[in-house]
Amino acid sequence: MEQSFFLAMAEKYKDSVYRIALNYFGNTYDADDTVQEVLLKLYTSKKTFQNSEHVRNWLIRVTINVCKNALRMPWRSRNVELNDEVSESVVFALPEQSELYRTVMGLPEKYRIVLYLFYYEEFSVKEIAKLLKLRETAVTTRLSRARDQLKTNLTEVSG
Amino acid sequence: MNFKEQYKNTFLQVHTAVRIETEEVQTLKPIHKAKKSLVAVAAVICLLLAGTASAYAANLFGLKDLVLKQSPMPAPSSAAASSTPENLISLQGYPDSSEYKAAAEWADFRANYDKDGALLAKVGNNPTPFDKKYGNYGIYTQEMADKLDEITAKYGLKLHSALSEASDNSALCALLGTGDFLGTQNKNLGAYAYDDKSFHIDGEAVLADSTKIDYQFMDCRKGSFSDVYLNIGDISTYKEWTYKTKCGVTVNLALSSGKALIVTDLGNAFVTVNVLAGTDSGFVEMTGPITRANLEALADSFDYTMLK
Repeated sequence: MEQSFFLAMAEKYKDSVYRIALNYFGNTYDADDTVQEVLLKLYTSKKTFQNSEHVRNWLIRVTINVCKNALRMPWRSRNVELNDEVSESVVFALPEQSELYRTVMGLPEKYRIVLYLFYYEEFSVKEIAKLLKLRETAVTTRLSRARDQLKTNLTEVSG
Repeated sequence: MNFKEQYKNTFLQVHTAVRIETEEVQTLKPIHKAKKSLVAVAAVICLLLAGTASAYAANLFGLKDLVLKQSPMPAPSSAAASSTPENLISLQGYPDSSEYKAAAEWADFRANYDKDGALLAKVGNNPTPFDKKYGNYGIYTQEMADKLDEITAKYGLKLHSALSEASDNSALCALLGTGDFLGTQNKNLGAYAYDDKSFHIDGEAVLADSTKIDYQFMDCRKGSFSDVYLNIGDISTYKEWTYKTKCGVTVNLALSSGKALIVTDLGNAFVTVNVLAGTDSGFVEMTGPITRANLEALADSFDYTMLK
């Protein structure tokens, strides 16, 4: 991949890669490593990209695969608990944002990732199902349960 | 503020600690753990290429003819990147076509425009007045827009406008108004088509011998301008031959250690299949390895007559 194109795409999408990995792993350490690994794949990829949206979709797909593969490793515990390092790693503009972040990151990984893809990346349920290799009903159920848990845990959630 | 807005505003403030500087691309490596660096990957690629340096490249049907003399992007500054021979080929047509000539002229322009990226940096990710008309071509200045208009007018080509996505074979065929040219061996992992029916597929084939092959299928309709090029690495490492597929269309096949190509000119469209596998395995995210027979079988899996 041409260096200038790579740099532009890496700068544009590195935070998306990071946030997906953070939702999978629940810690900044592995999330940052995933950014490096995925960008390395982009740099060495022989794929041809027609536009930045194509790069974004490819990066998200690869990030999900990298995270899933890493979580399959026998040395890794899938039940990563929220730790102080995650919640303290970001200084939010508003206290309620800090609370929301802490609460979201306290959800199980399978709920966090569908929330992120749905609310932040704005993928449809159908697209998320394809990305995560799940049935659409499973995605809908996870979204619904995630929202229910958030409503229980947060003092005020609207919409 | 609804939940979606609250969520977005919150996660918008979450950033990676990874910083990528121009000078450091070639030494990109994990912060915490020892993983492959780009230097290491480049070295592996160089070794593989060196191992096939004596490969026979017949150029029977013009793979060399497709190579653009000028890369559309400034040459990489890193020593690691520049040590690997790079050849960019046109995906629009052979050199006598208007589509190839236009793409080559645009490549010449882009190679010498905003070389240091200063203009692009100034624009950043902000919307520009050029997005609506030139959104598919990465235009960010008036000068670029004028040049593109000049080239397309000179060769009588149209710009792509609307883009539609198709998540499976049937959706894509419906969009294109064709029969099922992908058949049962191919799976569409994601595709999109432009208003002129040019299209792109990220596909996966499972051959009769269970070999799995990832590929990109690119159909560039004649009469439209496309600025997409393909880096095929060192062209001298490819073995090339012609092959008549089961559907009766003759294609040009090229096979190297890390990549393979299926190229054919259908008259109304120039079609390139970028096969993400070669005779060796080991590249990042590669499927394969594949043989000459595998590549012919993949070519047989497409019914090109439906695209004419």
